[in-house]
Amino acid sequence: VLASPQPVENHNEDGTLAAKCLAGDEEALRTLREQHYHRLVSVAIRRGATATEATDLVADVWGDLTSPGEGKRPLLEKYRAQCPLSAWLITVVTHRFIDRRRRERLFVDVPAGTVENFQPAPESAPAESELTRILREAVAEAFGACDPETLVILKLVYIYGVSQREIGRAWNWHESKVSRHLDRALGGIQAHVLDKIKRTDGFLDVNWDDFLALCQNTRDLFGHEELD
Amino acid sequence: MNDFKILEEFLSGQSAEVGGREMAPLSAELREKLERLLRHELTEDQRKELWAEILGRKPALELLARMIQKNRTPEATD
Repeated sequence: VLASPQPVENHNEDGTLAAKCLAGDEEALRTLREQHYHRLVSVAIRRGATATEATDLVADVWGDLTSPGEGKRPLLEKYRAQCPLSAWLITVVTHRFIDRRRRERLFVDVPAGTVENFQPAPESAPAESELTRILREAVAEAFGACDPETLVILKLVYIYGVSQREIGRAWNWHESKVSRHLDRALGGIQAHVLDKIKRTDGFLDVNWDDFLALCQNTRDLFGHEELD
Repeated sequence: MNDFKILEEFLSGQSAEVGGREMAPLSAELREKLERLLRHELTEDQRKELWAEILGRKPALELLARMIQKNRTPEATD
C-alpha cells in the first residue's frame, strides 16, 4: 500500500442517526427521510435514471436500509460513519442504479428461451462490488496511460509532499514547467477516467467530483471482504 | 485531500496485500541510481529504466522523496 494509513474520520451525528433508525426510532426514521429521500431521487436522475426508475430505485433502497426482505441484514448496518451519511447513501443508490442497468442489459443479451433459467445474483454476491470494479478499472487505466516519469512526479508531489520547487531543482526544470506538467497530467487522468466510464457504462452520468466522492465512499460501503 | 491522493488511496485500497517486490529492501545499486539521477548523470534510457523500477515501490519512492527534500532541514545543508 503506497499511502500511509489515514486517521479514520468519524461522522458521529450520522452514526447516531443510523443507529437510531436501525433500532426503529420513528423520529430518527422521519429525519432520515426528510434529509435524504428526495435528494437521492434527484441524484439517481442526475446519474442517468428516468424519473420513474429513480423513484423506484430509491424506494427499493429505502426499504432495504432498515427493513430488508427475509434473510437479509439491514443495509444501514454497513454504514460505519467513516464518511457523511449523505455521501454513503449516494454511493448506495449509484451502485444500485449500475446493478439494475447491468441486469437489464443481461436480460436483453440473453438468447430467447433461456430467460426462465436466469438466476439473479443474491444481494451480497460479487454484483455488490460492480461499482468498485468500474471505479478501479477507470483509475487503473488512467494511471496506466500516464507515462511512468510523470506518475513518479505526481506521487512525489501529491503523496510524499515534495514541493514543486524541489521537483524543479531535481529535474532541472523551472517551477512553472513543473506546475504545467502536473496540471496537464491531472487533466489527462481526469479526462481518461471519465472517458473510460462513458465507454464502459454509457448510461452512467458522473462528473469528476462525483467520481472522487464515489472513490472515497465505496470502501465504506463494501469494505474489503466483498471485493472480488 | 488532493484529487490524486484520493485516486491513489482508492487504488491502493483495492490491493488485497502488499506485494513482495513493493516492500523488498532497496539494493545499493538502486540507491546509487537515485543519487545519480539527482546529480543528472543518467541517460534518457537509464532514467526510463529507473521509473519502471521504482514505480509501485513505496520504499524507493520514499527514499527519492527524502533525497530530494534533504536540503529542507538546516542541518542537512551543512
